[in-house]
Amino acid sequence: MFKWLRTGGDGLAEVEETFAGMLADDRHVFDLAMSARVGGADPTTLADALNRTEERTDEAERRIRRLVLVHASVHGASDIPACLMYMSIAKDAERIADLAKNIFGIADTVGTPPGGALREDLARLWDTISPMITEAGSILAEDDRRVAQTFVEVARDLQEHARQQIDALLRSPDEVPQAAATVLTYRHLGRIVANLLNIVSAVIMPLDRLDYPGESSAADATDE
Amino acid sequence: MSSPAGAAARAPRDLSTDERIIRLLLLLVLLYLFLVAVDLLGAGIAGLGEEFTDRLFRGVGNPLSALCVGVLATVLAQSSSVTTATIVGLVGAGVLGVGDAVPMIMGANIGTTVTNTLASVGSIRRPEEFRRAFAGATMHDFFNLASVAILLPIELATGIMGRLAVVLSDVVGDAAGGEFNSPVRGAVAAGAGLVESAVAAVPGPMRLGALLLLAAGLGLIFATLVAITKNMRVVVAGPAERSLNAVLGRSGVLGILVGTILTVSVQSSSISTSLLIPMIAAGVLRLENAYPVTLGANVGTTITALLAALAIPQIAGLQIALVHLLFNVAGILIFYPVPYLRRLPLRAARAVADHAVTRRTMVFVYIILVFVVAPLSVIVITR
Repeated sequence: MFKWLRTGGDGLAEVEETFAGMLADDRHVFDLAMSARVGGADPTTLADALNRTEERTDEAERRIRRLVLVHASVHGASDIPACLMYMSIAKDAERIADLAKNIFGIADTVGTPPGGALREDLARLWDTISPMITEAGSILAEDDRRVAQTFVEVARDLQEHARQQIDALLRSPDEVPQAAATVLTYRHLGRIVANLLNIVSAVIMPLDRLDYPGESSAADATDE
Repeated sequence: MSSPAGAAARAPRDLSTDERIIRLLLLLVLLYLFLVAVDLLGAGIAGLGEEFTDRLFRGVGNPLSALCVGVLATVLAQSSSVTTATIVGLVGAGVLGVGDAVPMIMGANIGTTVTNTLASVGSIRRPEEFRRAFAGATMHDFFNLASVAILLPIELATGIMGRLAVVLSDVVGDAAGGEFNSPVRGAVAAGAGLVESAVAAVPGPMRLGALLLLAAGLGLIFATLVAITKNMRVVVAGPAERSLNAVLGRSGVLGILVGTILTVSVQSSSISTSLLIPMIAAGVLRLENAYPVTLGANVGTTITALLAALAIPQIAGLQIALVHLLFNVAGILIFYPVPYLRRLPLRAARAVADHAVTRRTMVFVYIILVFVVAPLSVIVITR
């Protein structure tokens, strides 16, 4: 009962711990998604584990918000930069699992992985990005600027590579590009609407339930 | 990704053992000075003479007036701890009887809620957030007002809490003889004696010396309590944060316990209840879960009067401090166990918050009326 009085460290230590767990879950979701999309695994056998892990990242993000808010209330303005940073990166970590789930969705819909060089390239990206997810957590924990700089350069190269691949696919003379382009268009429109929804939900939802407007009504959240 | 600004912001926050020891030693020094201050206050008041103090406290024989003096004094000092410590000093000096001081102590409970009500005004431009924050602040107002509305007439009619305090005080002192052999009294008297000697050396009439002691006592009570609160806020920040995290999704006895310990630690119910307001405003802490923490804060804040009683050789000081504790415990025992009664302050707070959101000027009217105009009017009328 009095564990909370005995344990050491403050709320930000708990935030860091939760965030590290979140990244571990991100990596798991990413690996499951890529094994379905590129590794040839049957998506139906992975769906439950993937969904459970992805939901855990959602809950971890909400937990981080609560912890950050309590920390800011107790400690006042001195830790505001750290609080805002954690709010922001927790959102990023949640999106990683979300986007990995989208990749899994593509695997589930399309059924077959791309062929030839594209599959090899995606497998190489899988091998590269998967360890980067947990590495991001260690860089943050160790606060090493030099390693962080190297990481940022590698990540920018990967982003550029992905952009070039998208451009190349959209310009390819095969039948697929038009459908792919349309899918991407819908995807971007969906993200725009989702972000608008997040902005507006701030008016009616408590902080720890922002971005989850479907899980409970605004009336519940306002202590009615 | 870790930005340089973010990385710099994550400096380790835990206090080192050395700093912790220094802060705890500082606390002991401040507590000692606080007790000396209570002693000086009593000496100053006694030195002013019976005729002067009779005129000063004329009217507090009327319970309603005494209640309002307690409210107003606490609003002005922004601290019920200052008011209750002062009341203990006045009772100890024989200026106030325990019976006369009971309504003042109850008034201090009402006055202390102004701080978190003011804290809730910070959200006034965001309606939903403000609705929650204002409800969170005013539930404390309504609980304390309801407790006074029930317990003050009972106390006036029966004197039950006063009598119970006498029985309890007899355990550590001689209630019949009116003496309290406080374990720290000797040390406190030595410190106060030094100040009194210094003041006695100041040339001028006796009353000037008494006024100097009174001013020194009041100033030192205020300063030491502020310093204790600031110092302890740093020391208990970690446990406070963990305990508040523990009550986020729960309500009940744990919340009362957390509120009590937190308030005893920082010596200020205003601080502990104001901490809750941003969490309630954000919707992370529900009203039902914050409510018991607030009740615990009411109990925790009684530690100041009990500490102040250590400086007073007369057992009446301890008795009024015990009345403060009994009043707050009785309030919880009346309202908390029965679900219907428990919800009353919450319902009232939500109703007022709903109105406050649509008519925001009402917020300022409410604060000024409840905490300033009403008590001041009663004091003026009853004098």
